[in-house]
This record gives sequence, structure tokens and C-alpha cells, in this order.
Amino acid sequence: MHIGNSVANGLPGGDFHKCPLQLDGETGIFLKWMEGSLSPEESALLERHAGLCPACRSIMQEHQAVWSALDVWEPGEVSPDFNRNLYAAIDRERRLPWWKRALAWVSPLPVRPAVPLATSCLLLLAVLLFQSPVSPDFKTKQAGIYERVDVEQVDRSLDDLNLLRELHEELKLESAAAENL
Amino acid sequence: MPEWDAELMLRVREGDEASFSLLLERHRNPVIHFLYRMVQNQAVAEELAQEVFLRVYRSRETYEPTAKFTTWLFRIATHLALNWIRDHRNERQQTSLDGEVLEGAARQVADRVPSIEQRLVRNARLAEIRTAIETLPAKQRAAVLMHKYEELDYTQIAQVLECSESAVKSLLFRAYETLRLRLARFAG
Ligand SMILES: [Zn+2]
Repeated sequence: MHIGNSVANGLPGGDFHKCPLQLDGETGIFLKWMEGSLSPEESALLERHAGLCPACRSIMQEHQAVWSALDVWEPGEVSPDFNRNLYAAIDRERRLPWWKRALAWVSPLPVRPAVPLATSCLLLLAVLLFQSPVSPDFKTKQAGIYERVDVEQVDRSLDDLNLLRELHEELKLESAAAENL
Repeated sequence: MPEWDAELMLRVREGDEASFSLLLERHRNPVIHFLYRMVQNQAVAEELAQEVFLRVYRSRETYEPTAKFTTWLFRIATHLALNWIRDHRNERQQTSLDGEVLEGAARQVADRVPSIEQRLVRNARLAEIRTAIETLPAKQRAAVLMHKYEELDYTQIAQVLECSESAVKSLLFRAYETLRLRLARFAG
């Protein structure tokens, strides 16, 4: 970022409205100053300018006050049961039948009533999977589009497919067992 | 060479449960703190964080380290928080700033034994800060919280919010400008 000498020296007559740093596009400089990402030279120039320009000085003081005020907001203590609850949830999920785990996957949040839609999607996926087996380069193709597609959607789809593959295997085992009876 | 977190996640993929515990220890508090500041309710934040880590665990078999682990983690957390905010928008307007505000502020200053007046001033300021953050549009709020408290850089925030870096700069500029105008008197 370049801060010219005219800016650093302030404006004659204290005309705040014409200060170049107040113009759209240039004001990002205050954000950079606040977060500490200006070089020491740039910071020094800006601060020198603020010494001469009351408008910029005022804005910088206000930004500084907001930045410090935000530091006061401490989050609460994490519940001591958090880890235990999480591991219990993982354990519960492991013991669920496959179709309930599949529903957990396609439901955005446990409490949201997305089940009918999710079930339809799952059935559609199941039909597609049984009709066209997954090609060996499936994962490679998925990795290729990973950057462009929502991470979670991809993750969910992949795991839905894994679950459906598991189901496929289970059904094969069941039918084999039935034939042996 | 994948980053350490990604390495841990790859170990989880291989069935190493201890690596999942390590990941949880490293990222649990930042995720809960971020979610707490997003939804401003500790119980909801923890409930959402449970869902975040459940999703991480569920994804172990398909995980590929194509993005920084922290970015991926905050993407899941932000997605859940934005959904929650969207679904509870009306309730929040009625119940914002509950008893948690005063409890939180009182706990912070207890060690320094401030006067009642100092505590009242500090609590009032904290309430204003929370309200100012809460009234930011949800994406601006997420950007500010990741920038200010979680120290994610512009690139990471852009990946989390699925927008360009210039869009992130614009979100941050507008958010801090709103906060400055709302909280300007703190400078006095
Ligand atoms: Zn100026």
C-alpha cells in the first residue's frame, strides 16, 4: 500500500471532506492499520498523517476503541461434559442401523424436519448406485471437483455412497445366507 | 507434506481414535468460542459444536487434505451457525441479551475486584458490543469473528464463506465501519 507524501503531510486548512484517505477504496487502510498488517513505515506515515488530519485521527481513535472493546468479550467456560457427550454421540451413532446413520448424514441438523426429502434423495441415490456401479476413478474425479463444490455436500454424498455400498454388501450377504438356508 | 492437523485426520481415517482426541483438544475451544459469539448462547454453541465434531468424525473415511484443516472445520461450523441463525432469527430478536451477559462480564472482572460502578459500566459496554455484533448481517458477523478472534487470514475466511478475498475485505470493511459508528463513543 502506498501512502503518498501529500497524504502524510495532511491537508491545508483542515478540510476533512477532501482527505484522500476518506474516499471509497482507500479506507481499507484503517482496517490494515487496526489489524497490524501495515509495514512499520506505512504505519508511521499514517500516524503522522493522523497527527495533522483531525478527521482521520478521529476515525482511527474510534477503530482503536472498537478493536480494544472487542477484546473484552470473553466466551463462557466450556461444559465439562462436552467431550463425554460427544463420544457418547459418536458411540450411539456407531450402534445405529445403517439406515438411521444414512438419515443422520442427509439431515442438515438433528432437529430439522428434512427427513422426507432426505429419504427421497437416498432412495434416488440407491437406484442410481444399483444401476451403475461406482467406477474405480470415482474418488479421483471427486477430488478434482472438491475445490469447486461445497465441501460438506461432497463429504455427505461420498459417505451416503459409502453407506449405500455397505447396504449393497449387507444385502448380498443376506441373500447369500438365505440361499444357504 | 500435509499440515499437522491434516496428518492427524489422515490417522483418524486409518482408525487411530487417539488422533481424533488430539484434534478435538486442539480445536474444541476455538470452535465453541466462535459458535458462542455467532449465536450468543452457550448451550446452543455447544450443541452446534457437537454436530461439527460429529461431522468431522463421520467424514474420516472420505477425508482428503485438499484445504487447510482449520478452514474446513470453520466451514462446517459457519455453515451450521448460519443455518441456526436463519432458523431462529425471529426468536433471537425477542430474547437477545439474556442473563448470560451480566454473568459473563462479572466473572471476568471478579479477580480485579472492581467497584460496583465499574462493573455496571463494563457490563453495559459488553451488552452494547454483543448487540452491535448480533445486529450485523450474519456473513459480516462470521467474517469479523473469524478475523478478530480466530485470526484466520483473508484467504481462509474467503474459503470458509465461499467468496473472493476482495468480497471478504468488503464484508470486513462494512462490518467494522458499522461497529465504529455504533460504538464510537467508547473512544471518548
Ligand atoms: Zn486524513
